[in-house]
This record gives sequence, C-alpha cells and structure tokens, in this order.
Amino acid sequence: MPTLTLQPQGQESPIPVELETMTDDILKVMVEDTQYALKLCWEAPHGGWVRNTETGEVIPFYIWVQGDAVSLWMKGKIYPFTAISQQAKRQAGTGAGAHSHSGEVKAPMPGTILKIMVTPGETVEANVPLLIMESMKMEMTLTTPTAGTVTKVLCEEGQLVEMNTLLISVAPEKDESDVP
Amino acid sequence: MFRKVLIANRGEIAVRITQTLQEMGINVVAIYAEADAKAPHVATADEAYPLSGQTPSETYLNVEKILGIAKSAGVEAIHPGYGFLSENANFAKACQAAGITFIGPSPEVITAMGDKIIAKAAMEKAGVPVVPGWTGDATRIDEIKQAAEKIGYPVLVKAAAGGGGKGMRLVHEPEELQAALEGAAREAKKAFGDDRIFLEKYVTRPRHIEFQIFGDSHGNVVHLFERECSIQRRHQKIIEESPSPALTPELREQMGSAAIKAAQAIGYTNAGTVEFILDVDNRFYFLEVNTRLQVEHPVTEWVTHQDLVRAQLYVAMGQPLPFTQADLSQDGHSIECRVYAEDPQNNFLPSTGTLHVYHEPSGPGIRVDSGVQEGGAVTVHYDPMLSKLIVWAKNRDAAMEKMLWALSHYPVLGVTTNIAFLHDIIAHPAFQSGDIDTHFLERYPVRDILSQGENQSMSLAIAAAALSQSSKAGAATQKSSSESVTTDPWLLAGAWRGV
Repeated sequence: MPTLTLQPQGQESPIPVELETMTDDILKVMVEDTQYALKLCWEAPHGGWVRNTETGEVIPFYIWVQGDAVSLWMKGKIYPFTAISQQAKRQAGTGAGAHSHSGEVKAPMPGTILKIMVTPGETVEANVPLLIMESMKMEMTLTTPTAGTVTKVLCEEGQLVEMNTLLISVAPEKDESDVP
Repeated sequence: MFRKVLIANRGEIAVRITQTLQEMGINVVAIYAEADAKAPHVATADEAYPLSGQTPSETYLNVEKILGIAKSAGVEAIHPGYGFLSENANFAKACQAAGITFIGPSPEVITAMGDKIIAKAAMEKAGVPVVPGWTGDATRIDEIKQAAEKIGYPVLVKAAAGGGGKGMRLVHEPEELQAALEGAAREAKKAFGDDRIFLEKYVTRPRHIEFQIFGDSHGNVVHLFERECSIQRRHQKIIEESPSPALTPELREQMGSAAIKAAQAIGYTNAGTVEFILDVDNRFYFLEVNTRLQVEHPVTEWVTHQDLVRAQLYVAMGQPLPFTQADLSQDGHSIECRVYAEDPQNNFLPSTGTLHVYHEPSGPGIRVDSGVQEGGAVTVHYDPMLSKLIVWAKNRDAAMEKMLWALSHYPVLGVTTNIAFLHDIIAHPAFQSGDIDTHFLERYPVRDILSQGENQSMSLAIAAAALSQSSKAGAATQKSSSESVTTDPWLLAGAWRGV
C-alpha cells in the first residue's frame, strides 16, 4: 500500500496518507483516522471531480504540482501542501516538521535587486536582512533563512532576476540539536 | 460611423472594448508589448501591431509609437480604455493634432479635473458640496495651523496632483501637522513632480459613492446612477455594486443632480465619473471627477441595460447620446469583484507566474471581463488584475448569493489570487447587511475575514488520490477515460518518484 506524505502549509507536521486501489477504480484513502472510498473523474488535464462513494458527495477539484509544492483547489478554496519524499524525510531526520534548513535564498518573484547587505564570508544570524529587491513597484526585504556563514552572493545591485533565481547561499551553522 | 478604431490598452478592457466595436461593424486595431503577443486582446482584434519593448513607457504609454501605428493603420479614432494614456491630456491633444478622434472628454477637461485643487474650486463654484478644507501657500505654517483648527481635527493633507494614496497624510494633532505637510509635499514631488498640497476635513467612516455621468456635444448631460465602491484595499477598489445599499431615493436624486451640475459646470462630454464621499449622517461631498471609462462600469451597464462603450462611440462621432435621463432607470442589483493575482495574507503582494489552471465561472447572471487565459503569464510589468467578475440578480441578497457561488466556482492555480478573500468579504455579516465604508479592511483585518478550509482531511485525501493516479501514468490513463493524464507534464514531477 503506497503512502504519500503531505504537509499542509502553515502546519508543523506532515501527514501520511495511505492509498489502496479497490475494484472499479475506487481508491481507499486513509488520512489519520479517517477512511475514504473515492472515485476520481478527470475532466481536464489538471482536474475534474471526485465522488465519495460512501456518501455520494461530489467534489470538484483541480491540482497543480511544481517541484514539491502541491496546490489543490477544492470547492473554491486552495489547499497548499508540501510533498515530503522519503529521501527528504531521511535527510531532515525524524524530528517534527521535517523542516529544511536549506541556506539558499531565491528570488520569490521576478524583479530588480536594489541593495545587497552582506558579503561572502560574513557570519549572519537567522532572519537578518540580506538584500532588498523591487518587484511591481514594491520593495521587499529577503532575510537569512538560517544562522550561518554567507558562502556565495550570486547577484549584483541593479540586476534583473527571474523568479527562483538563486541569489545568496548561506552555510548553516552546526545545529546544536543534532548533537546527541 | 468610424470604420477603424485603435485601442490603446491591453488586458480585459481592450477585450471588452473590442467586443462592442466589432458588434458595431468597426475594425479593431490592437497594439501589444512583446510579452502580450499571445494575449487575448491581440487574438480578438482585427489587426494588431507590436510595440517593441517591455516596460509601460516603451509600450502602452508611448505616445509617439502609438500615434505612428494609428496613422499608418489609418484609424479614425483611439479608445484609451482606463489607466495608461486615458487621462493624459497631452495624448488627447496629440490625437487632435494628428486628426484622430480621442474617445473621451476634451484635453481641457482632462487637465482641469486632473488637478484636485482646480477641480474642487470649480465644483465649489458650481454649488456642488465639497469637503471643508483649505488651499493656499503651504509654506505659511501659521495660516495652515489656523485653517486646520477651523476645519477641526483630524485633517487630511493631500497632494494636488495626488492619487493612489500618495502624498496623503492623516493628522490627528496640531503637533503632527508640520511634519505631515513636509512629508506629503516631498512624496508628492517625487511621485507627481508637483509638491502643491491642500487640507481637507477627515470624514470618519466614509462611503465611496460615485455617479456615472455622460455628456454629448449637443449639450445633453445625464447620470446613470451610482456605484458604491467602499470596499478598498491600499486605496484601490476591489468590490463595487449598484445600487448602493446606503442611498434612499431622495438622496440618490440629490446626488444625481449634483453630479449633473458638476458635469455641466465643466462642459463635460463622453463618459465620466463624479466621485463623492458620504458620511455617517448622509452628507455627501465631491471628491473628484474621473475622466475615463471606469474599471467598474459593468455594474452600471447591467442595472441600466446600456452599453457604455457604444454610447462613448456615438458621442465621439458627434451624435447625440443614445438615451435621455427619462430613459434611464436601475433594474435589479449588480456586484463586481476585481480578481487580482495577489496574496491577501501577505499584504496583498502581487503574485506572478503562469496560470496553469484557469477556469472562469459562467451561467445566468454572470459576466466575466478578462484578458487572460489558461497557460498565460502574469508578469511584473502590468497591473496584476486578472479579471472582473460581475453578477446581476433581482435584488442585493440574490446578487450576493450568485457572487458567492461564482467565486467558489473559479479555480485558478499557478498564481495566488484574492478569490477566496473576495468570497469571505461578501459572506461577512457586515457586508451582507450593507454596513460598509472605505475602512472596512481596517475594521475587519484579513486574518479575521478569511475562513479556513473546513475539510482538511478530505483535501489531503483528494490531493493524495489525484497524485497517485497521475504518477501511475500510463497504467492509470488506460484504465480511466482521461487522455490528458499521460500528457501531463507534472506526471514526471520528481517529488513523487520513489515515494
């Protein structure tokens, strides 16, 4: 029985979902203590509707996956998840959150770099300003994801960057909690 | 009748104007920036010409390039839409000089109404109520202090050339006044190149109520009733409706007459909007005149059963208005929601990206004016408004029900939108009862308005089920009837391998 692990955005812990294919394409889905028997009907490349075969309820849905980010549209609401792969879980250990301490700072949207406040080799605390960028006439400040040392500054002031461009790398300082 | 008209705009408004022009048998010339080459406003036009470049000043704001295309394409008129060059008097003049009709009011009216101080003085002279205030030499601080005392605190410091909240300061105490004056002037200078400022009484809990006006070159002026636009974020309207739940027939009559008086005082021709604020005691004050077709014009079109763009064309061709005041009435109730690619939970930060999933709701009483399509991109270059969702029903309650249904049947994935937020505003008890003002989102912050998705467990189940079917690729597709699953690019998304 395959298990997918999804972490709802804004929540601390990932939730495993177990799946089993029954007859007639009905999927038995276990989420925590709740079990569903669902039948999916794809109407478009990214969505369609689901019938809950036990209650008869019909639920339209759309889904989009980009990397490990999953967005589900269901009944007018968006449910964002992070897909946690086994590998990622092993890397992050079994602790709560499976929170990645990646020190990569990427552009959240396309824009222009206005000011860079750090230089390679500099030691930084977590959540301190690294650079200011401008997008759609609004300024935003990007901060350090983790305390550590700035290893690379890959952009310069005035540069126009695309979304998800790696801007700055920070090598995380050794995590005290890893010490047994 | 014009044979060929250029639309100097993009997005939903260009698409909307195109429809009326084509209905009238007029050929539409579109212009487009490189990034818009595949946009709906280009695809729906009869002819389209590229504007090289990406930034607005290189493209949709470039008077020289646009007039060059207009001349070589042989158009007789230009419709500016809203935004961009629509309220640029120099552009209107340049059109005139080139022998091309600018579809809008005269350059003189645009200039006069673009200056808040001149506009206010003109209205006061015409007997239209204005917000008590002061204008004069901003360096005479003692005089200003006296004026502020007389008006009564709190007062607003505003920029003459202002707009969008820039150069605006709210002053509660006399001690704060000087710093506010200096700050506002500095900001206005930077934003508009004009540091003239003025004082106005700060109206508490104001409602924004505007009247659609229309004038022709034969001296006819009518109003097409009101739109209430009190739900705003960052000084921009996001929900508009007509009729306003605040107006009694008597008040509507008074405000309508004032709007006509305002239009006549300045010799207004073509479509325009007289904006008022209404205080808690039902006193109304002139705010400004917008010399363009407004974003929110569809709610007026729906309750009056008129096509405002068609009327604009008649007036621009020198014909009389196609309706008289007696022809006009309000039927039923219409609400518009502006659908933006932005994140209400993150200070309304614009969201860019590709519209991987985009399906507009449809059905009786639902109109969507949009300039985007599935697979299209939302870029940093332009306003992140995706569409306007407009509904009509017999009364306000029914219109709200319809809007809630439409908003919950409008899937968009790939960019963050305000759709769920708009839904939760309409569903809010204060909105439902019509208890709204321009500070609605300060009284009810985003986190209080936004409801949580109720069924997280089901969402997890559906997401996992959908992902598992897709990742089985070929096998799943052969069994299910959908062909599209195999061609799906995200089937191969690495995240699910080896899980």
